[in-house]
Amino acid sequence: MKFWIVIMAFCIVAEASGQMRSIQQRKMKKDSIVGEEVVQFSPSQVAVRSFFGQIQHGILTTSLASSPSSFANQVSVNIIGGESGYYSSNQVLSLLQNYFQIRKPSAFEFSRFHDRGPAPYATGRLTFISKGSRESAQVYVSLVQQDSKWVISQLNIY
Amino acid sequence: MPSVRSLADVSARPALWGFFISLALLVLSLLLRTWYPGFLENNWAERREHSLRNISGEIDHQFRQRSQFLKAQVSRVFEDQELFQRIREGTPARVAELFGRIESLRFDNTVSLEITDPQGTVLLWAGRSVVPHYKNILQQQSADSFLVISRASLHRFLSAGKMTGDHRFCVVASQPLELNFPLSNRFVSRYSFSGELSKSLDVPIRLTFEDESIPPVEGEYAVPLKDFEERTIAQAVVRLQVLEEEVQRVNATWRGITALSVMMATGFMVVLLWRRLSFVQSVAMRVLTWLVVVWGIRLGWRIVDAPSVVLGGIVFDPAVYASPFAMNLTSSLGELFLSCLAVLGTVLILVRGELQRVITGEEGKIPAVPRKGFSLLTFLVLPLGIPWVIRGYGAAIRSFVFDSTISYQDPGSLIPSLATGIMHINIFLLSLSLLLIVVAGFSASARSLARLFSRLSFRVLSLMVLGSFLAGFALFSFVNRIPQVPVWMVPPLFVLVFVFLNGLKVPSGARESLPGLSIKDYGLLLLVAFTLSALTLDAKIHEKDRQQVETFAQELLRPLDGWLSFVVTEGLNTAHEQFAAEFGRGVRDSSRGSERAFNLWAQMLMSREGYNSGVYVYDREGREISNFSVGLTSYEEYELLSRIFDAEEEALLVFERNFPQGRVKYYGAWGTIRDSQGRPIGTIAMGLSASQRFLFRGETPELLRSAGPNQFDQRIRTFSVTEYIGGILASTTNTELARGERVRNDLLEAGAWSQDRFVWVEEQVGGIGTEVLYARDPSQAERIVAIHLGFLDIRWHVFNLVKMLLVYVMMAGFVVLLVLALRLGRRPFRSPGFREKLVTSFAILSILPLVVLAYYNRDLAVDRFNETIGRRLSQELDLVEQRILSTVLDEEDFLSGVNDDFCEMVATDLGIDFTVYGRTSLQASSRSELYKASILDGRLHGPAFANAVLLGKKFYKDSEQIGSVRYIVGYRALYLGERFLGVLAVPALYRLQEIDEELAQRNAFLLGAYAVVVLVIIVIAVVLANRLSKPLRELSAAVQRVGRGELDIRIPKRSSDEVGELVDSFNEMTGELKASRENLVRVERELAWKEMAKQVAHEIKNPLTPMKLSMQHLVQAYRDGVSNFGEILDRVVRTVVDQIEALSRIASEFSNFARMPVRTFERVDVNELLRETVLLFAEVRGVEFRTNYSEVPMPMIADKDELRRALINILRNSVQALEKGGIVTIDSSVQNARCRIVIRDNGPGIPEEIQAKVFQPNFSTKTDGMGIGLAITRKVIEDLDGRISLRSTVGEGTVVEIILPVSPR
Repeated sequence: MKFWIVIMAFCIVAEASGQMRSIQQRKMKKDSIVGEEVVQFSPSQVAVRSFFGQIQHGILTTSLASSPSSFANQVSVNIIGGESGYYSSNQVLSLLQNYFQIRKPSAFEFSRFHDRGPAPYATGRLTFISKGSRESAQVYVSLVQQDSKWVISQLNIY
Repeated sequence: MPSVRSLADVSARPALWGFFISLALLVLSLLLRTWYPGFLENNWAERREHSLRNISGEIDHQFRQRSQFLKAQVSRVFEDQELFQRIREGTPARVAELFGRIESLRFDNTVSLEITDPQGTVLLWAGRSVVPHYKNILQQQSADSFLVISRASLHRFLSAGKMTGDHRFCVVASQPLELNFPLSNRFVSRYSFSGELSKSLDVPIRLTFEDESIPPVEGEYAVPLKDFEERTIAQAVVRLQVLEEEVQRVNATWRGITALSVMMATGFMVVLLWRRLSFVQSVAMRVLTWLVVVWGIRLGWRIVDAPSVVLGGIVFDPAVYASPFAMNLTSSLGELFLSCLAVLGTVLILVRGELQRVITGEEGKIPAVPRKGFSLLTFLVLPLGIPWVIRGYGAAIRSFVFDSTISYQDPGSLIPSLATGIMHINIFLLSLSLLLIVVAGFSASARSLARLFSRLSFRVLSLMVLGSFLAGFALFSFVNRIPQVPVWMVPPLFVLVFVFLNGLKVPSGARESLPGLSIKDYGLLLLVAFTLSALTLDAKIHEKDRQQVETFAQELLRPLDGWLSFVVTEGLNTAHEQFAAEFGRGVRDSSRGSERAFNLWAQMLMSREGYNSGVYVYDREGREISNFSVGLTSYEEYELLSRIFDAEEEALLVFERNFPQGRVKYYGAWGTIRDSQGRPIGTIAMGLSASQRFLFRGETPELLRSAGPNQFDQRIRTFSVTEYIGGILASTTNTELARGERVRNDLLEAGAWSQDRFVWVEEQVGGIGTEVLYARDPSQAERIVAIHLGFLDIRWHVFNLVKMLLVYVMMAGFVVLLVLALRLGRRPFRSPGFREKLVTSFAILSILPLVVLAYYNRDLAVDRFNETIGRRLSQELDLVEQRILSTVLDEEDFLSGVNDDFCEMVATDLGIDFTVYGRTSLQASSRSELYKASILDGRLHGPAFANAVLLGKKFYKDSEQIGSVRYIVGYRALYLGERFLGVLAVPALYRLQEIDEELAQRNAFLLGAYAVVVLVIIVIAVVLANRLSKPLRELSAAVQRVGRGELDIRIPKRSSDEVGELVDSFNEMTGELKASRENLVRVERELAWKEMAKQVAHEIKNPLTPMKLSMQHLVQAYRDGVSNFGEILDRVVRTVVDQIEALSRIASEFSNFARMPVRTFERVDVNELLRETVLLFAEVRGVEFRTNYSEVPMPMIADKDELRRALINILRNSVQALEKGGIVTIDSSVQNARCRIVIRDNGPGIPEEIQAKVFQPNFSTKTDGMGIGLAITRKVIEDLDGRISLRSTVGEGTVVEIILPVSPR
């Protein structure tokens, strides 16, 4: 009986340690992937990612509506049920202020990035509270380089 | 003389009341804003219940109104019994007439009228096809009259019907109720009942129907919509309001009330301040207070969102204009207008004094600035500071253009839009402000120089200033590379200001007695401001055009892979969500399959972005249920779908195809549709083409293109795109360029692109001057794109200028009306002179026929234009007819062969879009997507059927309408030999842009021509009026001189007509007048001497009597030897001496009055003289002097001592009136070339009955005076061509007003 108990205990320990190893390996692998990705990012991609991070924060806190330097001279804007067309950076700020005035963002994260090439873009789902009810919208942001700086050239919220 | 009333004269009491009431309203609104949310929360359940009852009642009422409207429409048809009689007769000619008749019976064009047989076959119709879509419902109706809601393709219709008594006919009147909500109004403006209810009741409302029931969920409430038998036929689902929403709504109302009360309070405050500030003596304090008031109001209004929170609309829409500049003071068009007004107000407050100083300066001289150091500083700072102000002005106009979506050069209409008009006014206000600043700066600089070089004339000083300003601007331009205004514009501006200021100083006949600005001066100022506005605006529009072209080029060259992949992937997600939602609502109706693809497509990003794209829906067995595509050929669709289904599910497919015109890239994907349990129920595929053949995004028909870049108005500037690969032209939209041409050599040279990806050059293409942007593809070095933008034609410049002028004329009209309204019931205006009346009459007489002619010409042009379109449509019908008839062999061939693909092929070959109807219903179309999308009706237009089919007309054209779009359609019956095949229709719908271009060009041409004619008419009218009125003006001036006493005047006779006779009479009259006056003077002199002698005798007699009596008394005392003789002697001597002194005083006063002293005329500053005179009385006890002297000098030619004596007389009278002490107020000002002195005292006043006598000689209420002081004063004032008047109220005081002419030179 003792023998079996020892064998079972061994098996449990072995299995547990195996599981732990597996978890650790997966974690290490994930870390290494993340590490690899970070390592492989070109300076341009880092700049783009960083800018998308700022935009994400700006949308969540609505501070994007007060940051004229984030937008190109002419921005293609398409807001469902609202404005559509090309607007100056100053106008975009006012349009966003109006948009956020009746919609309070509760969650937003870019879920998809394309950070290479001359026109990087990112998309994500924005959740907001409007007139007391929770709603959501898909956001598409595309960038362009203007005076050696990344700026938003296209903004779609629908 | 009547005084000029201003805001200062308005009684303070009403304004004070208004101010306090506004403040009370403000406090109340703020209190209610704090209190009301709590109250609302406590009573929310009850309030919501009440509100819901109201909403339900209103919905029911509105629905019943609509059904009753349709019932009334049906009844109207029934009133025309002859109609049914004729239908029974049934001959084609009779029936054809009935189509026109039924059209005229419609209440409006939203109503569709159909007369059917009992089986539901439509016999006669007007408007859109409805009954065929629910024939079965109609057949099931047992009642004589009914009300149904039916679905006709994507529309929901409300139909009221009634059978005739003999049950042979049924009349159905229908009206759109909903267009597939929420897609309604997306592409074409359509009616939506739920939208209207939502808007009027301010709650979200949707409609739910029996065949597509979406039951109310939690938080929603259903209101039944009932038919005539009170059966529920649909439901309006109302989303119940939540407390937070209601609080927001109520808060918005309170905000509005707060804003309104702040606006009212500030308005009353201005009136009160205006009154109070006129008494403030310190100029600096007054200026500072006004500045604080102007900007306090501006900021205050901004803080409470006034007036945007009350007004709203496009004037306050940031999509029209927005800039966050200066704490959002320019956040919209309306806010910008208020800010521009505040800027102009500020400038006027600041430069007013400076302008007055320069205007009223002496001839050839200018008042120097007070200190030397200050003058040097001013002279150095202004030449460098003014260019900065000009730069700021340019930057502001840039923002007006760049931060707005306003089409300044909209060629489509002659009258500028509201937004354009307001923006033009803003630009003008700013231009005027700039001009005033430059004028004031110029004048201040000249005055600074005057301090340094006091001997130089103004002309020389201003020349030196001009030089310094030009040098300053040159230095500024060198340092600052972005001057923001065209550099060439600034020197002429400085020169114009120089001319303007010197013009003010150069003596001219018209200005001799007018030291203020003349009409010509104002005209010049406004003209310069207008020119400044027009030139700067034009430069900025051009700049923006270039930026837009660069943005467009950037868009063209931007890799689209990421974006288009996203568009397709999101399309799949949209489809999944849509199907899940439909299944969730229990929608299983397979008959809706044909519309499903369009429904899906319309909600996808690919449609919003206007790509050539398609959506295809299949059932579980793989059978196609529905498809919808735009801009894709059958071949493209086939290949796209083949490749999509070869790829994995949900995987993005990207492939390229080479066409002779270039490469085309396709994107597509497919996915499985599953129900809520995850079971597959069908498949969906979609794709789009990123066509590079024409380099534009898609070619979606205009009506389906709800969104997309519309950056250039191609109606006024020619626009084309060309693509070069390896330096060789690969494709172009420019017909003047040929494939194979080489790109400019300099662009291929190394270093050509070193600076930028864009190169701008000017080229001649096909004889047309263009500016060309060359842009290099960053990812493909050998690819260069050229965008040609034609220079603006001179006609468009004239057109734009005239439109701008129109705004200014309207603005001027508004200002005049405002002034008239403000002065209503007050001092009347100077009536226009003979010359003005002549000019106006000539202009009216000439322009009126021109306007009538223009009106008829416009109608004629429209008719000619319609005829041209008709001819063109007829020719196009010929071509399509020939093509079809040459293809089909027989009727069967026609029915099977003439399908959408065939039509599309023929349309591509001929470049003509068309539709083929079988008899009354659609058979095929080259633009089938418009029918699938339910934008166009599939049934032949009633009158077209009558004319083409029943009457067999060779060609019939009619005007039709979709939403607000009107267009012409040409119809022709197709016959193969004698056999009728169908009806061919060619609508001008697809050429709306082309038609717009033609109309715009016609507008520009006509307006330009009329503008030139009007200008010529006005010039001729002015010249003629000048010539005709010259003798009369001379006569009028001479009469005025005669009025002033110059009787030696003679007018030369220039003609022998009536005017010549008038001149003769005038000369004769002046001669006679002169003789009469000399006689009169002689008689007067005699009379005066007599009067004087009588008066002197009388006055001398008075002291002589006591003297005589005293002397007699003295003699008697001496004789009587009285003891106190010495005492008596002293008394008598005192009396005699007193009387002798009185005699002496009388003698000197008469001497003063009578003598004609030699006056010494010199330049006197009345202001200064008044100041000195008041100082003489400063020591008088118990009397307080309050003075408010004019800020500007009041020069005039007068005898200084004499004038001083006159003023002393008046002041002495005032002081003497204040025996018990009081206040004397002295005001001086310059108004209308005259100086005005007002002396007020708060003494006991003068009774009305003696007011008229105070200026008469020998009148006095005092015991010790002769009563000739005020008489002398009046004589002095009137001799100086002035006037003196007196107003007095017993118990309140006396006001003496003196008006004297100012002599600037």
